[in-house]
Formats: sequence, C-alpha cells, structure tokens
Amino acid sequence: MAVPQTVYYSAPEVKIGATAGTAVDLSEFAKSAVLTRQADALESSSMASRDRFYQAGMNSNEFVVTFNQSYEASEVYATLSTLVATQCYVECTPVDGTAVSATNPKFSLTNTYLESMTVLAANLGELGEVVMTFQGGTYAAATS
Amino acid sequence: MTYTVNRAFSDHQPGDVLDAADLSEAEIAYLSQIGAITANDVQTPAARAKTKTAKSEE
Repeated sequence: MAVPQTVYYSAPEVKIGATAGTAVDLSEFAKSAVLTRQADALESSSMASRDRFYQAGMNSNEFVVTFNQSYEASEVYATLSTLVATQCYVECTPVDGTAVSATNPKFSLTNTYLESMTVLAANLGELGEVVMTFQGGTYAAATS
Repeated sequence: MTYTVNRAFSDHQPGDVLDAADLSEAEIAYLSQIGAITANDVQTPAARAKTKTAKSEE
C-alpha cells in the first residue's frame, strides 16, 4: 500500500539585499535557487580504528540563484549590481507568499560575499539570464 | 520625509509609505539607488531650477 507523501513544488521566495532590512523580493525573476549549508570535513582518523572519522571545520555555505535578467529599476540588475564585491544578505523560504513557520522555514545567509556578476549574457532567440553565487556567510534557519 | 515602496523588500510591500525614521541613512541610500523606494514631498534640484527659470521669464 502506498504511503501518502507530501511533495514540494518549487516556488520559493528569494530576497537579496545589502542587509536584512533592505533585502528586495526578486522571486518573480528566479528560475532556480540552491542554498547549501556545509561544514568542512576535517579528518580525525587514527590508527586505533580502520574507520575514517571526520569533525566539523569551517562553515562553507553557498547560495546559487539563477534569474531571468531585467535592467528595470529595482529589478535584477539594479538590485544586484551594487552588491558586487561586498558582503550582503540573502534569504529564501520554500513557499512564496506564505508565512514563515516550522513547515516553511526562512533560510538566510548574513554577510555572504558576492564576488562577481555577469552583466550581460545574450544568446540569439533566448531570454537573458544571470547566475549569481554568494559565498560564505552565517547560516540561519528561522521558523517564526 | 516619507518614502513610497516600489518593490517589496524586507517586510514591506509595494505601496507602503515609510517614514524616514523607519530606515537608516544607509538603507535609504541603497533602496533609493536601486529604485525600491521613492521619496515623497521633496522637490528635486532640477525641478527647483526649472521653477526659478519660469519665474524669471515672466
């Protein structure tokens, strides 16, 4: 007998800004969003065991987002171009337009670094896109 | 001084009117630069110059 499942239809809310107080909602332009929480694995194995063991080292969090490009005021280029080479703030929730809760947590990176931005990527017959990678920063998951 | 929100940011929605006291100077500068907020009840230098010229022509 099949077990009922709750699946996730990708429709996240994506906000990016210089700080949490200025994080602009760019959800309508987002095509993909991947936030990865990672702690470097430091090997602590010894000859006392034939198994390898690891301990957590530095956190290496990352947020990669793809936007349909727009050069209008307060949209993709205007919002993000000023953040290049700075530490900024990103947040995303699984379901756009739904209150933050235990079942719709708000994931964020504070002081995450935006190293570069492709300011123009044009291909014949295609919509322009821009992929942004935010590196590092402090990860948090809020449920309220 | 008040500001009208053009694009949703933080917990604010388009159409919201914010008092300058609700934002820091850095936030106002950034949000104004990207066009997420627009200042209300303020006359720009260009508008003032235009008004002055019109009067002098009269």
